Amino acid sequence: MRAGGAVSGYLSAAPLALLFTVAYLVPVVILVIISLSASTSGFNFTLVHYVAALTNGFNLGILFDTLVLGLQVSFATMLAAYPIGLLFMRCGPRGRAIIVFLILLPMLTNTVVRTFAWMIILGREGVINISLMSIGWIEEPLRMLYTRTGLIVALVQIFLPLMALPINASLARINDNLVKAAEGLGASRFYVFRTVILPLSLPGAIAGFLLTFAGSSTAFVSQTLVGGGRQIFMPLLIYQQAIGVQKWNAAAALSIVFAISILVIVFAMNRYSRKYLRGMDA
Amino acid sequence: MQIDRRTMLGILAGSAMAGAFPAMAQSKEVFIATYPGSVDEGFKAVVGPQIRQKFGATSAFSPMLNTDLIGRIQASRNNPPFDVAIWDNGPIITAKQDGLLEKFLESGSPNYADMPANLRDPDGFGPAMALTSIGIAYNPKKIKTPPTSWNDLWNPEYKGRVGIVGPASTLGTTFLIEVAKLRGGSETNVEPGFAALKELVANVGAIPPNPGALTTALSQGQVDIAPNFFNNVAALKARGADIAFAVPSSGLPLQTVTAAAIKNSRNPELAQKVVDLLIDPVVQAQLEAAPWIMMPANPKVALTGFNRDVGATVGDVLKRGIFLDWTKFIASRPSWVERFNREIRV
Amino acid sequence: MTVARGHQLTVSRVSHAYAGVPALTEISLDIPPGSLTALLGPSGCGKTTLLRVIAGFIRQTAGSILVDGVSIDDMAAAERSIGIVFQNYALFPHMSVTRNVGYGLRARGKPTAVVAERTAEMLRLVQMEKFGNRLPGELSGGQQQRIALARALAVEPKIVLLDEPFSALDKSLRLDMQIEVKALLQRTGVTSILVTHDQEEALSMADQVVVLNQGRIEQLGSPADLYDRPRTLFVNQFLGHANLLRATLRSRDGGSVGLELDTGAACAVPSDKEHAPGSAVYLSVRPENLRLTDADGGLFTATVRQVLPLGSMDVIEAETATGTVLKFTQPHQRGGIRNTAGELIHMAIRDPAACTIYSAGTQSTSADH
Repeated sequence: MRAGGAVSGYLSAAPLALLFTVAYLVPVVILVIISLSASTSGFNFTLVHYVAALTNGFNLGILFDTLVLGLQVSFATMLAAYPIGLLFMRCGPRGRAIIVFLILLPMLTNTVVRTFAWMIILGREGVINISLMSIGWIEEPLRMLYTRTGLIVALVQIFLPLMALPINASLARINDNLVKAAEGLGASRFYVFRTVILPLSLPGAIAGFLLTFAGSSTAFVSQTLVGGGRQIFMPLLIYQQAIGVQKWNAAAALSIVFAISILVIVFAMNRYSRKYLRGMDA
Repeated sequence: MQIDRRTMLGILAGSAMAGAFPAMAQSKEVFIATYPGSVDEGFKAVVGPQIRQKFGATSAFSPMLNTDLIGRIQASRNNPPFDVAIWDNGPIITAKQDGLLEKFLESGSPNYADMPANLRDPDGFGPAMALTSIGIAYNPKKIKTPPTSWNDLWNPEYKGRVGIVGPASTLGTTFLIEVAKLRGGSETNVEPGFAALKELVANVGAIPPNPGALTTALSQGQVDIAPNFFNNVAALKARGADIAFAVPSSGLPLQTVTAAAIKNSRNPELAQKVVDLLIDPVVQAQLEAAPWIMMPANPKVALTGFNRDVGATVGDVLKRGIFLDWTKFIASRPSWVERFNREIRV
Repeated sequence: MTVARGHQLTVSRVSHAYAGVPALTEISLDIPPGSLTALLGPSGCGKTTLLRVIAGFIRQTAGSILVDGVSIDDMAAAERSIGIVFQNYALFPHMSVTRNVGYGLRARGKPTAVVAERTAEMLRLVQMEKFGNRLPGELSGGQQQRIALARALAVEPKIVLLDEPFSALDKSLRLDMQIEVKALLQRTGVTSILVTHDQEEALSMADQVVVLNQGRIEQLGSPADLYDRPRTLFVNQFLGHANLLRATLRSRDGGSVGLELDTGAACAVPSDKEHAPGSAVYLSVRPENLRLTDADGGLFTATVRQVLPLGSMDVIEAETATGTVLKFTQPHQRGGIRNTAGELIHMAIRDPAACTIYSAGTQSTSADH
């Protein structure tokens, strides 16, 4: 009976496994094959594209900068998500439903549309500049669009739901009496947050962090439209190689290097955080 | 995937036709790759009905980037997903080198005789069916003196208001070469062009990632003057935006959009006929009109509306036009892209 | 042995309402230094609200809380120096036992050495010194309880609040822990408040018991006081078992009244309060105040319904001729149970002075003795 149950369990997962294989694994394998081929006509094994990708200091700089961008966005998003989470924690069921609705609301709009909205907000003649100039705070328009700060702000807004939802979920699981116990022992609000709320909500924060990191470091549309053509991150570099100058094999190799870098960081953070959670009090 | 889709479309179309008109069940279909946006819309509205009327065939149009198109044909060379495609100057060189295209049967084309020599593919793969011109786009509300030369972008008055794009796009490559030529360089020597771009940095307010984003930056006032495609400017102007197009005194850089049949097409004869149809004056005239505003390649077609901003006639446009020889620099382009990424900082 | 270093807690006319619904009404009580006071009552009686008000987690609508005569109303929970032991202990699950116990000291910025020394001392006090490196999840319920207490006491609070501290424990463990906790609290001499719905727990542990009902104090006094002289029918029924016999008051003679039970029997009970002759009353008799007798000495008869042998005592449930169900206890005798179901027995009251009578009108009417 147990074996039968296991078999039917595997069988019920089969459609998803098939979809995963066809829609994800096969394209990745094809990408790897392309990256190992000298040219697009026929397969001639070569490592030259990987050598080029890994020895080109400029490209490595872009790779590093892209990962740094992902980390910056993830930390900033976490900073933005925690106040929401603390409010969520204090709310009753109705308040919580409203907060979740407000978090999810922007997701009803396509990311591309939200990115365009940010272009309109941050632009030289955008909402912020026009407002600040009309109240006389600034005379020259501020440069926000096509800057790193502008890009980070937009990415934080775009990825906030992915961070806020898991953080809210793990904050809601914290027994309110733990907070009361800490306060009763004389801990200040901040001390309670640092020693009780933050560590106990870390699993959610780490989940959100990894989602945001993977999402924001690969957010081609937002990076290019809000970040502009001068801030070159890996997605734009790959796009230029593939679409701009038709160097498919080089683009594939860069894609694989980029994907592995992200996986390594995600994996390392996951391991480190688990270790940290286990040994938090040691 | 594409084969499946094609087969599926064939089955669906076939069975539908078989039900409606049993005698026409063997009707042919032609698959055409177009460009995203107004080009695809225009082809669907103008070319599709003509194909049905003239050849009794059905047609399907798929908008995509040329690079994507090359990948799809390469993935299924013996049974390509398309019969006809239109090509930019850069990608068509790759397509020719990879042997993806079928030679054009000039003898079977009644309209080919209309085409000037420089609008015929030098290797005999087909005629240009449209022209894309590049000039200076600017906001006439902010820039009171209409620019006349690429050199005007270096005017200190325009500090922080100039937009450019890198050579990963046709627009950026053309701009780089034109600037290089003004400073004593050439298609193969863009060194003076890079030197000039470094000087231009002081004026540059934005380097958007692609020509589309540059157009958006112009329409949103992020920048007020920038090199751009005439088509982009015309589309914005048609929607009432404050934008104008100036032809540089050094000449109007022109690209050709070449129509070519794909090798191993299942309907090679029909494919050749469709290429001829694309340069037919009637079809060209319909595509020239609003809202498509395509710059026609056939000199028989009269220019109207916004297209007259570029020239009075097609012949006039061709006279002012400059064609770049992409075969000379296509190999150097990747290094230009990297150099631009590395050296042009704002 | 007790060093009374405890502090006086005064609750002065405290009222609280949640969104207009009153939860506490005019509560006033004094908790002497070093004493253990139990807040006892059914769920919803307001005892948890009162605990939260004292702890500073909610601000009362009216009235004042004073420690040693000084109001603490404007102090945040963290400033009140009130230790709390929660129902499920609320130990920090991600911290070791040692870190849990030292938490309050670290929160107050005490030097590491002081924290370590004090933590070790507290772990010794609750006999948990070998468990310092464990996580709370690796401890039994009783062990967690000790750590929760050690954590609360480590910061030397003026008052300790215990919120249903034993309800999560097995019954067998509960009594041991009650004895242990009471001893610990006595040894430290800290003023403590125990919130519970368990009357046995309140009676066995507290120096003073406050019975709350519907947001008001029903009665306040020593455990013996409350058990022996319950002022209201509510207290009488809530503390221990009460057999209520319906009766009519027939006569009053100085300090005692003459009653006619609904079974027809007559008896005299000491009472100093007014009940109009002819009024309907309840005569409340504790189970241990009823005894079996022979036919001659019996006040009334009853039919045995069930006998529950509980070791040293037998609990007998019987029904009078008028349908009142009674419970009483008999010392167990060797050789089995004396009474069997269906048997007709004769019953008498051991000590009429230990009975109370209540007006049969409303439940909360004051009692007479």
